[in-house]
Amino acid sequence: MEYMERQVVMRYDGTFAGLLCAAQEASRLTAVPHHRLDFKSQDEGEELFEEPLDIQTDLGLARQIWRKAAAQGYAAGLRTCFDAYCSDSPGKNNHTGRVLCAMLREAARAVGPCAAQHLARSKLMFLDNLNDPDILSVVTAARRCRNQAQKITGLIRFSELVDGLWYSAISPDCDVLPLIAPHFALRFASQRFMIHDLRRSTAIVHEPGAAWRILDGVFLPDGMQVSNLPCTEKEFLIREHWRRYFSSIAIEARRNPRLQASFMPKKYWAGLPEMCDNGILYTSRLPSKKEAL
Amino acid sequence: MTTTDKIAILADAAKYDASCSTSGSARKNTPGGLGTGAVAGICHAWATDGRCISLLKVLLSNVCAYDCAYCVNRRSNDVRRAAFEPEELVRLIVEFYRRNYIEGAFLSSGVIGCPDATMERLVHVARTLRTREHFNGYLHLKIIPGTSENLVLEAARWADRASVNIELPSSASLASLAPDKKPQAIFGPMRVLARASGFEPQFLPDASVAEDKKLPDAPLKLMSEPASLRPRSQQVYSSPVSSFDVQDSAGQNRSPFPRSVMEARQRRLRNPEAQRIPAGQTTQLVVGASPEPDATILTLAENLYLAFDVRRVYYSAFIPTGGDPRLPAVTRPPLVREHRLYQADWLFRFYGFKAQEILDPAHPFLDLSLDPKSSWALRNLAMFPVDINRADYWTLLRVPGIGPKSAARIVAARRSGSLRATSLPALGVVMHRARWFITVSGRLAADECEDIGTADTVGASRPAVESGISVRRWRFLDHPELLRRILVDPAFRHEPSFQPEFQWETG
Repeated sequence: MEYMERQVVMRYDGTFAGLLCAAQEASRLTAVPHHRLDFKSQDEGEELFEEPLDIQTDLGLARQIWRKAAAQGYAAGLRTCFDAYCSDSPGKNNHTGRVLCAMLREAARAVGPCAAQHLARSKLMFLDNLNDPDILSVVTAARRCRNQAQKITGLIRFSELVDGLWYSAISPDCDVLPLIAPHFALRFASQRFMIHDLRRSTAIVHEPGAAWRILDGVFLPDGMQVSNLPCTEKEFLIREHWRRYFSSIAIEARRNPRLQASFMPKKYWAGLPEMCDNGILYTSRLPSKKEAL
Repeated sequence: MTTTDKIAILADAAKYDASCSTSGSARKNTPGGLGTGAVAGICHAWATDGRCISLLKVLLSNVCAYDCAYCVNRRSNDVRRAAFEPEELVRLIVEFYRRNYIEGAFLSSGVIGCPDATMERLVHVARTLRTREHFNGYLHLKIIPGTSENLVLEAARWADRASVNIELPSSASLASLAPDKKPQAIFGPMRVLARASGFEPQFLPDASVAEDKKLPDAPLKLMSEPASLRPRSQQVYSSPVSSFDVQDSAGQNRSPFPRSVMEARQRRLRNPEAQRIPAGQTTQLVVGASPEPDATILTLAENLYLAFDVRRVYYSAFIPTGGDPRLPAVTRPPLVREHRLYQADWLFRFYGFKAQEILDPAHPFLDLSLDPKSSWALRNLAMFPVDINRADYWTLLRVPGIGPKSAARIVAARRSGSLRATSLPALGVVMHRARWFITVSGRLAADECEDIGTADTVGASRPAVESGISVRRWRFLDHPELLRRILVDPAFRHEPSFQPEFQWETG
């Protein structure tokens, strides 16, 4: 019986597709309640006496799982899990994996004559049960990620480079690129642009007429930094215009820098020409307190 | 004069317009075009006054023929004047937009010559952006009071949102402070805009007649137009009136609209992909430049929401711009009053309150030290406590500290099991306000808070302590005065901690 009390560890490769496959595998272990499941990516350390189940990532299977659950009405729930997976919340793998597993179990239970009814009830309630700590963490993490994506959507600043590329560098806490890419691809459909996540060395790349892609391992060429990119002449002029507009639009009698900083935290200032000296962007942001430790 | 100088002058001249929202439009990107609308709106920066910047808010020109006392651009004010070339402005908007600095533009202008000539220039810029540059970003056009119907419709065709500013909440103030503007010139374009966005302006029957009867010697002649019995085509719709009479409002003064703003808006069609002004119209009122009380302002705002389907009413604290003798001497802008008005405005639109409920019949001004919802709760303690596990959504929404989101979460979370007081902060409930007004499965939430014992040493509840009554057994709901002091006192702001603290032995 002691064995039954132990946590069951599912080890996957760290991608969302891997997590989906792991959750699918875990949902078949019907004897294990989902709070006794642990989800770990391969780069996390192994504990003593731990016997993880290694899960093979199968992109085709992951796609199938997603489509099936989405067709059963869990599309919003899956999306929330994905957003939580993109967040920087510490226990996100575990929480997201468990919620996905519980969701797949619910979906699998919907067979027989009352299937439709059961599904309608369960998908309605699924993410509402905020008394459940896993669901609460997933919903909170997803909200944090979405909020950050929303903020960054507004705070991205493109620079026009001499080769016609519109370049923007960010270093967000959450992995927001998949969340913001569709918005920018629609809005600047006719522009060649790149949004570079300096912290993760990933980038959204968009060419007019083609679908956007997220590339891994994107680095600036040697000797080039965000502060000395080869920008066009006009770029500096427009930045100057923008800085002038920014300072003129503030009402002195209502001055409130604390309110400003609460909406636009200092961690984002490095990429904003209006907040940098002479409109020259910082090379990178200063490390936050958490990272310095 | 360089473009940079013009930006400085013309942004400075436009900054007192409070409208900044970019929501409500789902304009699609056209092939080869630039930009899209974002229905939820996007903020792109925050200025040092903490207000968001999402649009390039500039005047086409700050040369103005009018002489409105509250306005920085009035013709009698000695400021530097400038004007954009239309082409210059178009380039600026496109370049800013391509760099994701802005969501679009907010174009306004001082009155050059006549209103129609000015409006023509504004429409020209909008038309150029849409047709030649294939610009699909957000455009907010200011309609100059007195513009003819054709031009208003032309503006509605290119803009995502249009607005006419009322600025002063009564015709008396308008006559004394803005002699060039007439109520007719403001409400005419608003009516056209309402129809352009698919809403037939509501007719307020006999509002002006009732007004005259009720207020025989009112200090202010409130804004009203005669509603005549002419054929419908020529009928003059009565303008929204401030029908709230502070002195004798007790029950007799019934709103011509039985529903609250929120209920009325729930049934209205909203089409973010509409051809003409998908984001509707807004307006702005200046607060503190004229003597009207909050009662007048809020009643006017409510009527604007109901009669013209205005999407937002903005309130702008009056900031003195060069001493004009017609204005009250103000040293600091009434920011707190503006904040309370916005809170009341939110109660209209998202909480189902009516102006009559928000206003205290005894005081024409809102309480500056307490938010309007808490003030309302203190006047209506009979409906409290509310039980978290039983009350419906609408009742929950009336509890101070519970908003639309947390009320919805409470209702959703209840489906899978009853709630405890400890799980409420996680749902977004602001406990330091809510706990006095709620019960959790029959127990008063305030009774469960251990830290009331520590808080009773703080000034707010001193009378209770002095009279020897234990605070924990004190029924706050019977004592609105004491409850008010607790709600105002910052010592009670911290969230109650449910974690028992152990005294660790040292040494």
